[in-house]
Amino acid sequence: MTLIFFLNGLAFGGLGLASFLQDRQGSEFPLSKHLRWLTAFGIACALTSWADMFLVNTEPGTFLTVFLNITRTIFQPLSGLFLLKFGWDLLRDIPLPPWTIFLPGVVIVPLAYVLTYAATNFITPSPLEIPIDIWSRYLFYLPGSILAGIGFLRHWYVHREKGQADVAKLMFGAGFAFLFEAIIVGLVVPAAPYAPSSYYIYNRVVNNAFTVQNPSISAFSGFSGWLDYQRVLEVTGLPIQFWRMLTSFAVTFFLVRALDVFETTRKRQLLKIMNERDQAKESAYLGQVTARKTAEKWTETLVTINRRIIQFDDVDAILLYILDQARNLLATDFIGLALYNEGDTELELKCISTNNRSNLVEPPSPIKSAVVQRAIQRGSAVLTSKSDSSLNLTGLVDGFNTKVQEAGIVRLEMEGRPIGALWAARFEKNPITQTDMVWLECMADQVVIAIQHALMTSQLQSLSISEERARIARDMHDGLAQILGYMNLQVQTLNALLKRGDQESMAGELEQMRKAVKVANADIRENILSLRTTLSNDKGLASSMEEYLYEFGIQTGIETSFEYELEKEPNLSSITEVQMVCIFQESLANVRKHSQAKHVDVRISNSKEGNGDFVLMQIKDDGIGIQQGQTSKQFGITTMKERADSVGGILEIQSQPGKGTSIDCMLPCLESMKFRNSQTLFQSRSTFPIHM
Amino acid sequence: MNIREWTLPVYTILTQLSTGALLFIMIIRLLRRKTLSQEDIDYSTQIPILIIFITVILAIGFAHLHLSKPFLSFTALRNLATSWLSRELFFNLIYILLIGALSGALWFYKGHFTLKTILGWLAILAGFGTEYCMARIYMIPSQPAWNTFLTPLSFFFTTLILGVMTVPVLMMMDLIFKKSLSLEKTSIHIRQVTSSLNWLSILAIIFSICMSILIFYQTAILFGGSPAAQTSLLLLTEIYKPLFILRLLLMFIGTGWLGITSIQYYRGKILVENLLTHVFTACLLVLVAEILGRFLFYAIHVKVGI
Repeated sequence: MTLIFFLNGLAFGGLGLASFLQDRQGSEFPLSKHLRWLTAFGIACALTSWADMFLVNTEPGTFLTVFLNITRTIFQPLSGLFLLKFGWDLLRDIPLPPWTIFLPGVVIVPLAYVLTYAATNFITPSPLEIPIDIWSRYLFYLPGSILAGIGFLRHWYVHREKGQADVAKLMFGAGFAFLFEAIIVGLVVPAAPYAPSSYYIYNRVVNNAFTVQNPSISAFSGFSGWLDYQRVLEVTGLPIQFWRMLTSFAVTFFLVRALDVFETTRKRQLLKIMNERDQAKESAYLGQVTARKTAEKWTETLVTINRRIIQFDDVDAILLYILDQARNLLATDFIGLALYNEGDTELELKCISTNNRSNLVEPPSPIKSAVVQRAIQRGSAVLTSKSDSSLNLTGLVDGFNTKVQEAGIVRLEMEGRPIGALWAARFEKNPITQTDMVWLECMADQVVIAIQHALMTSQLQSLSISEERARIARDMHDGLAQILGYMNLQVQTLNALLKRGDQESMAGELEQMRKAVKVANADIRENILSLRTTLSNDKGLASSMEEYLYEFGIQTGIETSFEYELEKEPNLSSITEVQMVCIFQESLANVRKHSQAKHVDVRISNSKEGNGDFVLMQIKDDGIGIQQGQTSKQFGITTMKERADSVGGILEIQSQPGKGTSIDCMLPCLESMKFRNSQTLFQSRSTFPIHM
Repeated sequence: MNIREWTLPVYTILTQLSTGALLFIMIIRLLRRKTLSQEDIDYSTQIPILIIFITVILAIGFAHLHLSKPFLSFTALRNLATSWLSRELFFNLIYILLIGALSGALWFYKGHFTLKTILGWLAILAGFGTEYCMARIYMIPSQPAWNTFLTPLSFFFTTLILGVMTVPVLMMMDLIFKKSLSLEKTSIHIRQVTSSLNWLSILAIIFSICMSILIFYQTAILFGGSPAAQTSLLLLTEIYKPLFILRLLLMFIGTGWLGITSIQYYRGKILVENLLTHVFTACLLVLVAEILGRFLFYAIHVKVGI
């Protein structure tokens, strides 16, 4: 018996210690928040059991016996109370079904009766520790064990649902261990002079009721007989303390194992979560790297496209390049570009890019696909054969039999007007994402820019040709045509003089004809020089002007000088450079035709006007100047002024008869054009004086 | 008393508890007529009345456990003209039928508010009739401790005190149940609890004071009574003195607890969700006190003669 009490105390002490240590560790086990009550229960049980162990071997009536009796009388109800609290908390861990709220209503009457009955028992003569022992079992231990048992069974269910089979099994074991303990510890009580224990044999109550030292009892009847220590001993051959020891070991085993297994499982889960987190981090990093590389590729592609556009590459080549790059970067199987025809009557497939080829479609084939038409109306669309099996996506791919699984279509828009569509298609199930659509729209913008640029270039070229033709025609009309007309008159005059035989007059007329031919020759040469002088990337503006001036000097015999004060090529826009050259040529033509100058100076320098930088071109001759009665129109001054105006520049002419002419032309640099409002510039320029 | 004898107090206490609870629920129904619709009143009382009905069934079931031949209990009805026991059983049957009809009407028939009210008050009358007959059974000349007008009076006060203590428990269980199901109209229950708790707790304290006056008056009667009565008094003041004191203490603690809970609730220191624990504990203490009182009632009786 001593050993049994010792082992019983050891089991509960172990349970208390294990719970205490687990509580200190701060386990995340749902059970762990109630471990302090389990600790208290285990320790109180151990103390009670060890008190019993010493009581077995102590003489009755001694101080030690009294002390031990007091100890167990205090700790036994306490242990029951701790167990009741633990069981109650455990049960409430998992939300109870709503109907359980009525359980207090069901329990209140029987509970009141049991309490009343317990109260009446205390007035029945018997040692005080007997009713305390009995009623601490009935009122605390029994409900506490039942609540804990049910609580563990509920935890078993929850852990099983979570897939924590190991912990679930142990919870199940602990639940049944507690339910078994409810019977063994909560119901079987020592002999007492009242029901339900064996009250009818009073002697047993007095003689070591707890330890069954007086087994000479045989009268039992009814259910209450089974709740007696002696009956358990007679039926099983083992004292109740043995069975209690077994239940205590079972409870301790299942709980300690459950705590242990839970921690192991938890650690395993944590490790798994950490691994998953690391993998996720790595994936995220790789994703970022890939995204950055993709973005770099896209940026590079966009830069290349723009470079090709500004280099006036062939628009068809640019479009094919855009399609090729889009297909590669979007990892699609097909990219198509369709544009409306000239009359905007029909959408025609312009070019395609596939894994095998990229080419213009000649002649353009009409696109009848309803999905494309619908996407053009809506702006853009992501299509998938999965989401809408009725969509006929096969029409999206020209000349392919493969069925399109996924597609993205973007409308091409120029100045708010749809001009066509760009679409990407995949033959396998790989969805077109929103990011893909953003990039596709970006490429569609590039397509529009390329087309718009090509149109503008074409228009500019036409305009330039028209202007050049007009200028040549004007020059021929002003120069060569008049001279040829004059020559025609001279030939008629010579013919008349020849018939009259007037040799002297004929010689005079021939001399005039020779001068006129000389003038015509100079005009023609100048025109040829002008036509030859073009701006190119190979030759800078300054070099072209210097070369032109040099040729002008040779042809006209006028001395020239060229001063270039800029440190590098002037930062002018292309159109400004063209206008500058034209003003320069017109000015030199005036010098040749009208100034009778022997020397002309050209100077290129920097100038400041307000907040802007300008290039100042000064052309100064030592000729006769502009005479009274001559108008600016005669010298093409109006044209030169208009040229300067058109690029935001200023033209100023200073001239006095006999003192030569000076033309100052200020043309804005690119930075100035950015910062200055051209409207403001025009307004300020209109007040600029022109000295004639 | 042995275990079998304990079933009789279970019956009497449960019957008193159910009658008292029904009485105060019917009063609440009456008081709420101005502020709630008839439908809402029915809705908020159907579960408490169902519980009362189940309690009554359990009570009669327990009563059968102390009989040697439970299946022949109906034969007790044959002596209706002469026996208080037959009359008790008769009234009890009517009480069960009426309360069952009321509960059924609340669950299965909308409207008919007046009919339900009539059924409820008739059931209360039948309940009090049962209790009067129950008390008359004990008023026999050979038992001086029981044979006074105080016996039916104490039975009625037990009914009242258990009623006022039980109704808050029923209302709170109903409220929490409906809240947990996220049902609408829980505000009706909260209003009902809020408006009823104060006067119920005041009544509980008044009834407990009345009950203690009755108890001491009975003690005084026993003191001046026959030798048998004085023997009963001796039992009460000597052997059963701890239980006697405990009974009074528990009654005052229980009703006081309800009063303090009510005050704390109105001060906002107790949330409505936590009320159940307090009203349940208070009710349990008073119930234990009343069962102890019933135990003492049986324990101190001393027969005159053989």
